[in-house]
Amino acid sequence: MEKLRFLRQTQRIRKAVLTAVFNSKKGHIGGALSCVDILWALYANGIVDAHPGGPMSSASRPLILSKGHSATALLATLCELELAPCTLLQDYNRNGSLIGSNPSELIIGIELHAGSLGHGIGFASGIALGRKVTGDGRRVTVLVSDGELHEGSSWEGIMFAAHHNLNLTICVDYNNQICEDHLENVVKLESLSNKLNAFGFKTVSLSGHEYEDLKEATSVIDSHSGPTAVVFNTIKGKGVSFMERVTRFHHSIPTEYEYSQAMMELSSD
Amino acid sequence: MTKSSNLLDLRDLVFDCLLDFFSNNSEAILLSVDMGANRLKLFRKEYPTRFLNVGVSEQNAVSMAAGLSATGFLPFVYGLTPFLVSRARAQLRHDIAIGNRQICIIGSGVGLTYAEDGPSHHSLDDLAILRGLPSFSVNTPICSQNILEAFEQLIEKREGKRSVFIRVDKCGGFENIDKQVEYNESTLGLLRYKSPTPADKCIITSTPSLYHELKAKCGPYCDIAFIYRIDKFSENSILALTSKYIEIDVVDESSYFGGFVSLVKSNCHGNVRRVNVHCLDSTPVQEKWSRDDLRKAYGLVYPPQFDTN
Repeated sequence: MEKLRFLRQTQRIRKAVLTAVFNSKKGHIGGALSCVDILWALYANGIVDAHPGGPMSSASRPLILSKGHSATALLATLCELELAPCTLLQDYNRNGSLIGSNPSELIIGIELHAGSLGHGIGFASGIALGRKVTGDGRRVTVLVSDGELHEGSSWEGIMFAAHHNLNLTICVDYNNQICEDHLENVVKLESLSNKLNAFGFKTVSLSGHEYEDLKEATSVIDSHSGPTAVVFNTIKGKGVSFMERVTRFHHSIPTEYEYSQAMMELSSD
Repeated sequence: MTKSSNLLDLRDLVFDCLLDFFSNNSEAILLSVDMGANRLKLFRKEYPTRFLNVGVSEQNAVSMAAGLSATGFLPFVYGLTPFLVSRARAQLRHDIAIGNRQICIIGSGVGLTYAEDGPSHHSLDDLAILRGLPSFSVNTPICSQNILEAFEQLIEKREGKRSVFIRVDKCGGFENIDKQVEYNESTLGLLRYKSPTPADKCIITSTPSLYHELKAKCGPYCDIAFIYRIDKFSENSILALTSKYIEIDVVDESSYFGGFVSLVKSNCHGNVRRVNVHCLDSTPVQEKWSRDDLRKAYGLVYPPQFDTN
């Protein structure tokens, strides 16, 4: 029953992502589709919750979306799980809206005004450190893209968090692609799990799309209170056959025909 | 959106000029910080062994470029302007400038080129940072001639400036300026568009897409000065430029202190009776900005006609 709910809801989330990008003619599709299932698992299982919005506010178990260009996936997930109003994405990339390709921190669920990759782990470490100092043991979770682990600032945050044994979980959307190419053709990260382990994070590597693996991931995160990393093996553009692993759908906007084909695929059982 | 028929995409123009430069300078190599462009595909086909995507790492790209320069290469680094300027500023200063090495940065993005990606992608204060970088010539081209001048600077190293920063807007650019009305005043670092009738007003900008809109809008008795070499646009340049006018409008996609606006305001010639400023506020940063807002405020064509997004 729960698995059926997962499948149906994530399908609807993907449709919402595509619709927001198609209607506004701006946005990033591939990376949003690859992290839908991860976001669903984290919010649906109570690993993270959404902050109410506004400066200096933070959720009790915040998710820092470091790969901010996938905010459509996050906002669509919050809508589907009834954690945020579904009207949010109607303002996506409209002039004067706070919801651009990298939305404002004033929007529910957005803890960090991202856009510049490689900042999220450091920011999340800061929250985790502040909580440790004040005796608040609640976990901080950050979702990063694999590409942003090219940024050295990411590893500064990782080393710091490990050294101070912070209650921080890093979720990596490991779809093996960046904007222009596949990771193995540019700067490979393998073995990412070994690297994160070596840096002091308890690390597991699981599928970012299979229900059973996602359940196991949430169990690992819930049961470990120190630096934890989950490397989610994902597919960029997941859910739409002609977008999967296709480089141009990092930020290409689908044509009318492609959009209708994608929606048809996502509507099938 | 219609485009003027004699305009070509500025980024394409830059890469076309780069292709020529590479054919005459075998030590040149191009590092990309995972950025794409139409002509880049052609470039990669033409020079597969002289191109490398270094991944999402601006700081490492610049440090590596410094190392490559030290071994006799002429490195070009291509990425997004705000990240190259803000993230890699320490590397530009320490590894390139202080180390007396040479680099050419091609930064995509001027002002609000990437408006809808949010303030992390806005280049409102990069001019202020770049003007302060030692040994860099800072170029915002609008035509092929500007681009070629920038590349020449790499060879000539005039005024002790070994390195070059080229900021590229996503809009149309000229292959050749109209010499009947546009004058390249390279000593002042600007291109001046002269009205057919003697002008008592001048509009100053360094935003390429605004330049086209301003030309379409400004009537008689109004010249336009496009600043394409911000490092040359000194107090003396401003005095020389503004001596002929009684009114100055500054219209730019930069913030008051982040660009050159404050410089103009405080250095105009004594003949100038009024200076009107239309630029961007560096705050609030939470609002999404569009390129249309400044244009609307100044009464320009809306939406922009000459962008190539």
